[in-house]
Amino acid sequence: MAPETFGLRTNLSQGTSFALGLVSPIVLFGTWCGLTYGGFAPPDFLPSPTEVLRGILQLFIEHDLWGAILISSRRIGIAFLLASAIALPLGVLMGSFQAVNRLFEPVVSPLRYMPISAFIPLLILWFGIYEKQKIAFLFLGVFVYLLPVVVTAIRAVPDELVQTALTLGASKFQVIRTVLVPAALPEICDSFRVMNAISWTYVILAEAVNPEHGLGYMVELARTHQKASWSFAGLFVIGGIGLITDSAIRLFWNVAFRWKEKTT
Amino acid sequence: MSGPETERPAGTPQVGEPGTVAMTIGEGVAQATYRPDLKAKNPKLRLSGVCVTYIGRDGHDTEAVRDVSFEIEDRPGVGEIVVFLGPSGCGKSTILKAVAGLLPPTKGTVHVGGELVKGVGRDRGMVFQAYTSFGWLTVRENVEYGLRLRGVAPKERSERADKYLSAVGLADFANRYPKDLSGGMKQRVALARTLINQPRLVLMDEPFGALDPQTRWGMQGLLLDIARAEDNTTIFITHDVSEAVYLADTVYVLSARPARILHRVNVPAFANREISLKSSAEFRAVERQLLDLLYAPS
Repeated sequence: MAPETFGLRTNLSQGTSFALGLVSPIVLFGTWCGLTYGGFAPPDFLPSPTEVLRGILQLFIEHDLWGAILISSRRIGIAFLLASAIALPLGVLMGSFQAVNRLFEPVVSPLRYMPISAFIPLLILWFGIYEKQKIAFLFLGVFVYLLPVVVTAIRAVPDELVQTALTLGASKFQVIRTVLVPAALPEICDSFRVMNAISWTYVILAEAVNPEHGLGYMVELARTHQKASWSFAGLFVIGGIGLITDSAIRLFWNVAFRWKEKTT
Repeated sequence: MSGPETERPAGTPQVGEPGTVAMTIGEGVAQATYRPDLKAKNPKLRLSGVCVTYIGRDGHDTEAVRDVSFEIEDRPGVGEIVVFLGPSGCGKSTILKAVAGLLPPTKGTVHVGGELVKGVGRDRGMVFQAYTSFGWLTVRENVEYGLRLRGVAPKERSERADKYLSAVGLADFANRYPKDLSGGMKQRVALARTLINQPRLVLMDEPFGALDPQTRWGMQGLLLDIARAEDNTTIFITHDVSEAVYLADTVYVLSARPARILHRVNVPAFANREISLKSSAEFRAVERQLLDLLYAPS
């Protein structure tokens, strides 16, 4: 008997799975083509796929979109490194020692519930409107997300692993280095995928302040020129970058953590 | 693994001997018969008046162990197995953790080889019910873990790992990761990883509790073989009566939480430990005796 397509929690064959995955993109793209090429929507309201493609080329050739991508990537990269440099060691200590956790938790955990964009005026006040402000904003966005992930991942390591290591002669810091960190690392790295997505969203917000370079500037350009095709071009490019970086992180995960079951 | 075949201690129970219970079948024992009798000259392990109350995850105090005293005499070359038998959740594991030095006693003392236990030490290795293989290390790296911690040279490490890997029958799986292993194999990794440190005491906390019956029997046999070959004493915790009779030289029967020792039973030295032993009348009689003690109203 062939498996039921809409069976509760049944697995699908590769073919069915692939076919079902094509449905929504085709419907969406078809509707888009119908509305625009069929003349139902004016081009300055909803540009056609051809217009968007032209917009992407224009941005690449005339407005140095490639340079903008590099600038935004660089900002995200630096913010990521800074946030990891603080959140990883702090999170490992907070996850390992309940006492350290209690020292920092009352200050750190409310941060998560604050709207990050509300920090922009303060960050402008403290860091100005140039590079430092943008990196500080991205840093904050990544940091408040990364820290609790690290703490949770470390605390999720079973007690028995720690006790086993202790009875095998490991010191406290040997336990942290040889058990807690390696056991928590897959989950921490997995969270990089979510943070990657967060970063590409926040970078537009950060670059909306005094837009001079970067992808935020491109989005701003579309707004000032009232060109819907450029807005769409920007969205497609950012979405594409998101997909590519996400696959890269997933590929890295599957190679680095071969010892674990594969993630999806 | 090499090592002289040693005679297991004959433990024929005698009525009236302190701390023992007569093996009378079918006679329920209502009260604790165990009286601590700490007078060994050179005990390998001595617990004296140990009480453990610990702070649980919710921050409240939990009394897990009340006034536990016993000792295990040092009998070189015997490879003795002492079993703690008690109801689930009675605090058996806490006694073991106090011996390991993972939980300090609230009252009383633990001495190993005459020395007061103040914390964990690799002279007391521990094997848990939960699988504790380090997933990011290969089987060989798992077994070598303790040696690597104290900087033993790679060549010696690998030679000693080879010995213990073949002792537990995992030589062919040395380079696999634990995710490729069955539950029984993971427990073999844990056993080898503990034994390579040559601990004086091997503390086993229901190590075969999660295994299917067939694997479990195999592991019990393996443990008996290894206990004979290695010169360490095993303290084994279980709530499985049959497992207790099969493995033990001495069984301590514990009460429900907080754990106290109710009875001590010396298991007779069976002529052999073939699987068929488990269905013999002799074996069944001891099982029955322990069941009566375990479920006696008290």
